[in-house]
Amino acid sequence: MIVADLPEKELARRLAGAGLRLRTGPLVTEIRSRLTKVAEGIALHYSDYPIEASEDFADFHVRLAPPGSVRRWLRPQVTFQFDGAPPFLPLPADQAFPIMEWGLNWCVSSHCHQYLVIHAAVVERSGCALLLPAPPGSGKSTLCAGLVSRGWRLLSDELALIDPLTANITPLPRPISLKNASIDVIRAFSPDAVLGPTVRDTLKGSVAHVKAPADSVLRAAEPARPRWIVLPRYQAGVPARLERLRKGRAFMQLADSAFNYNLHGRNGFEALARVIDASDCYEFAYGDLEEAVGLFDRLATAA
Amino acid sequence: MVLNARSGSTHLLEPLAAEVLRALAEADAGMSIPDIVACLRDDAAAEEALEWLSAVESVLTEFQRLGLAEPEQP
Repeated sequence: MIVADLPEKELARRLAGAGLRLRTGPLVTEIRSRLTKVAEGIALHYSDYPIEASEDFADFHVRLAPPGSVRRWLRPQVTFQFDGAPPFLPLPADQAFPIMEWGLNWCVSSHCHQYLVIHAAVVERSGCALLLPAPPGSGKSTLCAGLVSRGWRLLSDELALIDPLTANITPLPRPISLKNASIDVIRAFSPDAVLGPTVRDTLKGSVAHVKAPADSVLRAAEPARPRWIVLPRYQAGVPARLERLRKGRAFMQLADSAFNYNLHGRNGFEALARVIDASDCYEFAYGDLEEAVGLFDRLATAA
Repeated sequence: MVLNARSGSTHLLEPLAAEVLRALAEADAGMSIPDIVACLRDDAAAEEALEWLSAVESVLTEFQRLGLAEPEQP
């Protein structure tokens, strides 16, 4: 069963009651919430995702609820709770869906140590994965959304899950988070992309999420082998330029971008070394999304 | 790239440092600085010898700071 199989009222009933056990890639999250914005966000962005039975194992148990105070009525807020405790401060209630997404990212990056978890977008074509590790503001998610809208498979917009034994990347396709000017860039670039409502005045500015393509969700059990590591950097007006990056530098960049590299010790070092050995490494500057996507399409065709 | 398994630290070594560490690891025993230089450049010209000795000594000092190698006690 997938989320789209549930009538709107049944989805809301499950979320308000025993919880919805949502499968995203290898993980199952039990989500509970009475908030309309959470139900609407899940109905829109997670319609293609499998639902697990309530007695099945869940990796995470999360809840989105108003804090227990007068703030319930005065400038309402929402808290993200993990195992009954809020790891973050409350945020305005209209940010309920973004805080759920940020919270789910936190669940993975803080707990999924069976993987080497790297802060990077990952897309794939013909079995070859392109890793895009980069800090916020680099244009990583915009590039990721652009590539996905042109047929690349989405493995993740935020979290690359590297299997320490195989060095393959386990998909965790979830909505792509766009910020500020990127929202209109993707609306113009890909009119067919499904975007949720723009939520303004978050800590990251205006935020909107792009729904992951159904095919990426359907193929979420298919790992991909790393083939390219690209450090993107958006710069207004510059032509797309791909420059070789020394593998040692690429290694350090990935290690710096990892959430749990030190926890893995020698296995993490060797897994990362295998990822680097298998990949061509580049720095990439771009100012035009169409040109950037065309360049990566050619790179994939030539591989 | 090298992982210091004792500290858990990962280091990106410059080419000379990588060669010095490789020489030490392959020897699996203490080496003098001239031994290391000889291992790296058996054809080093006399006028370059001092530069090599100095460069390798700098590398070893850095290795000591990072915990990658330590001087043998006399």
